[in-house]
Amino acid sequence: MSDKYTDHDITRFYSEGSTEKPSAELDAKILALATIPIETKSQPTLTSAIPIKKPALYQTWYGQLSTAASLVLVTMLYLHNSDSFHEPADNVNEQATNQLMENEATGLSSIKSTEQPVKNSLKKSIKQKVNIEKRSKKEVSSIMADSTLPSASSDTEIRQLNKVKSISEMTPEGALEVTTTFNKIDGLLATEQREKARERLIELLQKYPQLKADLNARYMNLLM
Amino acid sequence: MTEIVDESLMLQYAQGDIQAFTDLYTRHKDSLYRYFLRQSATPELAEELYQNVWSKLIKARSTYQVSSKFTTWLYRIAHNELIDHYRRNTTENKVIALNVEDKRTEATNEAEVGHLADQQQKTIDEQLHLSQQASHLRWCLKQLPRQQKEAFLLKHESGFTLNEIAKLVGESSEGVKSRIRYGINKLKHCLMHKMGRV
Repeated sequence: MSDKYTDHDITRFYSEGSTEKPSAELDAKILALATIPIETKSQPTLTSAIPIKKPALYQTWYGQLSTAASLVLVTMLYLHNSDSFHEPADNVNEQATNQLMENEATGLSSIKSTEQPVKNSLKKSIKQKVNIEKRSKKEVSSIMADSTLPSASSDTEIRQLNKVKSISEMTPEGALEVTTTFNKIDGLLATEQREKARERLIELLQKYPQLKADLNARYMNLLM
Repeated sequence: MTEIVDESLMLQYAQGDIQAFTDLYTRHKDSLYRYFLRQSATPELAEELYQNVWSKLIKARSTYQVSSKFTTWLYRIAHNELIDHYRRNTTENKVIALNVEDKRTEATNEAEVGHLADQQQKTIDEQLHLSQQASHLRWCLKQLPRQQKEAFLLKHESGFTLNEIAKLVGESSEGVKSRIRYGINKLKHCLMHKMGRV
């Protein structure tokens, strides 16, 4: 035999070695399996003939109950919250303005000096400006109405009247700024912070020199 | 002619002729058994897969139609059974118990020697030599990659043509041809190595 095998050798060796057979037991098992008759499809009975279709969710009692419960819940929520939804915008603005005034009086409105994010402060300041504008207009109109009264003799009243004279000639933005600054100055004076109040007043007069003519004695004293 | 008879037997069996199935089974049982035996890790597993194939064939008898050769249908079931088994037990097939195989080889070797001794035309030495070669070849066949092994077995065990094997395993004829060619070359090298000729 040569050193190298041929394809024929491989085939021959394989044929020589392929003598395994399934056991007689296995043969018998399979032949027995083959004798089992084919399962005839059983005739459909009355219950199995009609396929049981699963009812849709809306057809079941739990589906209907859950739908009704959802509707009741939504209706209750709507009724409960409808008052606040339909509240007049003026009322909302008034509330916001009142809160702002309170904040300013207590010195909490100095957002610039805090470390709040720029975006938040910008949003707040825009809202505040809108509210203050409305408020100042209301205030001006009410003060104007009061100024016709001859009994306006107190210092505060005179001061308000003086303010009104100059403010009424300004643009809405200017009037807003002047009113706000005077309120801040009053707040600072009330808390005995004269220096800060004086600085604010000087800044205001530099911006609006025409106010100087209308300043009352209290503010004049502050400047001295 | 045999193929036509196969299909006829299957049709007869589908109509309830048990004897037709017995003839069909006797005709194909050995090669199908070895097809599984060569590709399974243990003889027990080969028996299980072998039984499953016949069981499936029996169950599908009523739906049998002569659209292709019976053997193609039979081995397609067998091929799918084997593939399913490999998928289920991928790790199991990675491990080939060489020790078990060697022991089995020795055992069958002895049996084979006895079988071949009956052949009076060959000398005892030749028989032993042939038996040894066959034993080594079986061992080498176990070492082949699965696809090459299956292609080799379908050709040399079950007698399919290249086109039939290609159709059966879902490959091109060229692909199958390459598999068989590579497989045989590896077997040759392995056999030479085992016989100490390298």
